[in-house]
Amino acid sequence: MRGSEAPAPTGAVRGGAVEDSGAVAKVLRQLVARAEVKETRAMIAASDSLASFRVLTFAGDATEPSIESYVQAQLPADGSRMGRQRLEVTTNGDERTVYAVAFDRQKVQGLAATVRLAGLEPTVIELKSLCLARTVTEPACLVLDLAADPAEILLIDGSLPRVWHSFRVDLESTGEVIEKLASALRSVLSFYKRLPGGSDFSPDAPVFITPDRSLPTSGTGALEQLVGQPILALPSPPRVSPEIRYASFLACIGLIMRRR
Amino acid sequence: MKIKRPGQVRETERRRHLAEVNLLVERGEKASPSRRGCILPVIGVGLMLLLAALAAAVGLVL
Repeated sequence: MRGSEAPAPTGAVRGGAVEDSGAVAKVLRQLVARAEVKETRAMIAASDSLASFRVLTFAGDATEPSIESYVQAQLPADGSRMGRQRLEVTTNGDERTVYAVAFDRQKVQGLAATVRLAGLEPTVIELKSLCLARTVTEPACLVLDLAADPAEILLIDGSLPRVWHSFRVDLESTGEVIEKLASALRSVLSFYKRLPGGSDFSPDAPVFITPDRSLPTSGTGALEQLVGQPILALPSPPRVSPEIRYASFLACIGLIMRRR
Repeated sequence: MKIKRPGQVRETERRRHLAEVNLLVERGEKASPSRRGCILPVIGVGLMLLLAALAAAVGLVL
């Protein structure tokens, strides 16, 4: 397992969408060469800012048309600009759980085009939230990603992504950062607990902060007091080589963990 | 429309809940084209052969 990373050129990526394909493709080619990768197929984790997703649970006898109708109402998508997909995640007789996503087709195709420009063949594009949820063994938790810009919070329940939220925070402003982080985490928790079934979210569910040591120990303690959930460092996903800095490559690891 | 609460997930069933979605593939399409032929030409050729065999048999009888 090999990994390589580089920042996107300034202005080349905005809001998760590629604004300058040539510049990004050039960096991708350099990364592939540096990591000495011979494989030409590529899987891409797309920013959640390009899409909206819902996890919906229906009665076991719900019909396909009724499910489709409800999904359309939750995720309106016009025929041309927005695409929509849904996937039945579980069926256990009593209920059916469906993961549905509406995404900006043009921006998603823009990612694919950029990867092709780099000489690679895109085979999969998947939302980063779904990739991250696959790497986390804890079925209920929050992941606070302070390496992303803007910072991101992902709430996972039943091993599925449920809520994604991004917000700006200046980690250098030590006086306000803990309060800002606590406010963002509380708003995500509050939002989720108002959804059907969300009130069962355990107060023992951990908040994983990545990368490790993003906050001083004193800050972690204060954050735990304000949020009311345990604050922990994100553990390594299973079967990842110890020399890989997994926190930097979580989305990639989630893509590799796909079965198809 | 009844919306039920998500139940508790047993660890043994956790992997069943790991969704995989590919935004490159629109719903109803496959990422790579499936190799699927058409049965009609085979049926047509079969009928032709049968008719030819019948014609030959009738010709022999006559």
